[in-house]
Amino acid sequence: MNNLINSVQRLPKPVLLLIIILGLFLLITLAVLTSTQQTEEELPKETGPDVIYPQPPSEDVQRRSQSYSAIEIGKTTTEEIKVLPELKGEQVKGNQTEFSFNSGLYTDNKVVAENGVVVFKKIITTDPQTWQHPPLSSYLGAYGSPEAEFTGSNTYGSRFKTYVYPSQGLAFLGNPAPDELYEIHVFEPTTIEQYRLKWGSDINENLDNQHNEGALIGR
Amino acid sequence: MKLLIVLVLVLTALLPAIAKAQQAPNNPIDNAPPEVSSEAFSCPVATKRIITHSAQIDPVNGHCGQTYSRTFSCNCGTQGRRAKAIDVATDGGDVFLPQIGGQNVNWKLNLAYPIAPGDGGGNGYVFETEAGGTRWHMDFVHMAGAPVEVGQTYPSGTNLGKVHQTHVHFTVGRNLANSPVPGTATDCDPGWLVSDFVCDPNAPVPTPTDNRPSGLSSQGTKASNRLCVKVGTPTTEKPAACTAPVSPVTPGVAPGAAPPVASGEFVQTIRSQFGVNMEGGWGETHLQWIYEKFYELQQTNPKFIELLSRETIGLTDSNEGPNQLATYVRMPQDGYWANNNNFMPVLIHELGHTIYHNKRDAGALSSKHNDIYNSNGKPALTTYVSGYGEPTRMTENYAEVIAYCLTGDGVYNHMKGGAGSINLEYWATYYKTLAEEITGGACRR
Repeated sequence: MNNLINSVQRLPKPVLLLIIILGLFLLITLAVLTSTQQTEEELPKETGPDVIYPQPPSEDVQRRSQSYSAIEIGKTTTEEIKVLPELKGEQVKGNQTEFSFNSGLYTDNKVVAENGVVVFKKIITTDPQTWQHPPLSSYLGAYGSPEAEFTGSNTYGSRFKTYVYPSQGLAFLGNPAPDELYEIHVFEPTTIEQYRLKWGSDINENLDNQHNEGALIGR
Repeated sequence: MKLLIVLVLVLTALLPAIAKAQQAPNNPIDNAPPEVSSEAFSCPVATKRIITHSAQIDPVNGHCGQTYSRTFSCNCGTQGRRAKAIDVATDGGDVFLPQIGGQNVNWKLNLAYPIAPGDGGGNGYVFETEAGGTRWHMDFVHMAGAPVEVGQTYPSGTNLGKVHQTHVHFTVGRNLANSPVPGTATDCDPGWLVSDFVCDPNAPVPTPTDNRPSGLSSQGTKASNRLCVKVGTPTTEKPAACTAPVSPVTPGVAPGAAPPVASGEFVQTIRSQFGVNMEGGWGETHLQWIYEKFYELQQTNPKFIELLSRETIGLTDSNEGPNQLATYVRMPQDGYWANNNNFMPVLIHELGHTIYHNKRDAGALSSKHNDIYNSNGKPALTTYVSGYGEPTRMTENYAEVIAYCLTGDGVYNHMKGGAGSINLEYWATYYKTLAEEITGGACRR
């Protein structure tokens, strides 16, 4: 160790200065890089994708989405849910508690907890004042090809599609023709079959024969 | 020692660049941004080679010009966004966000949307910025898929990547009333500029006051209208509508008679004037009914006509019956449907389905309808609607609301066994105001 110190001390001053400057530069660069990475890591993945509108959303929507973004799958407890704004009610079904939150529309935002911890949440992304929606393609673009997609929704109609990413714990429900997202589902990673069974009751693939007014009868 | 000072300076200069490179969501990849021109905008493509001009610069071969493919609808004719757009060949190069007035600006991505394969495919992006107190929009179309996110801001020179096929199509808007959503009424904003100036140094640069519709003279007379050009034989005097002063149409006011259209011109006129494609061997009688009804509605309920832009009405036979199964309307014209009193209400009902399924919620107000319907015990407007289970019942109700508003009739009087009934209390309480909001004018009853 002493040898090393002696060798450094014997170095010409300019070289020593150069080493110090390079060392400082390296340290600052590392600090900048680390801070950038930390910002990315600070975003908890369990809260699910952000809800981003083409135009600034109404204040009501912003307020309601606070509850959605605060809830983390597998972490948030029923006690924490009960103090969130816009809570309408709760219903206990066995080991599940289903919470409904006001969405400003006839369908509610929904949160399901199992054994006291949140395992599913659904946000309605329709802005009930401007009727705008986030662009569906932005979400499908960000997450790539869905592991499964189903056409037909009991809530919205026959052409609506549910795009499911069960291994990532995500599903998007929307109308592909005008590229509009209507719902985001966030849940614990699972299989396609389990998603359909537990959270996919809105999917109805037997709605395809609609809007045929039929042949004339009795004329 | 000098070497040391130089080294310190270089490293200090490099530091912010490294940090910025870490944070930038999108970096130019392999091509440099195109050279900045002296015009108001820099051309987003290095080639600056316009392959399709605007209709104003090239009325024959330009966008929405005389030879322009009728596959593509032109919302608001030669006054709309598409007519004022240009196509610029990329020759395999990339597309970059432009500078304005030689200065870098920050462009915010307001909207990303897919382009239907029938409209040339790829992706569309609407950017917005402010420079010198002016709000600018740029609508880029046919991109392969730019690495950008809605709501994020990108500086001039940001690389938007390659195009879907051979060219990028774009239009510049100045101080538009609303952030544009292609395919809606925002296409008709007079703030869209004839955009050739962006890449063509010889094209006129719009002046700050040059936002009036380019087909209107300063006296407010209609100087250019496809219908006016095509009506009758060349020696026939043009109808009064072509030379009369243009006045804003008040929704709900009784419309005048539709200007006559020459035989064989109906399909083209319906497409150019209302943006609706007629598919199949339609007879002249039915085409005339459709033309006249759409002309009437364009004056009384203009939003309904705007919502039909880029939609198709296909011909089927009576065995198949009226339907909207294939994302567009299919109607028969023979037998029972050879009578306009039967044909038109059912056609408008089917077009209601098209609007529900194909158009943005902000225009179609389908969620608003569904909210009213579901929050009030699911009131079915007509007996026809009552025959369905959910959610078909709800979507059929929407179509009947549109049909009853615009015709005072609906499918309920024409299908499944004959005349049915309408619940006028439900109409007055829940649906009339909504229908007038959707269609942009007064209902018939």
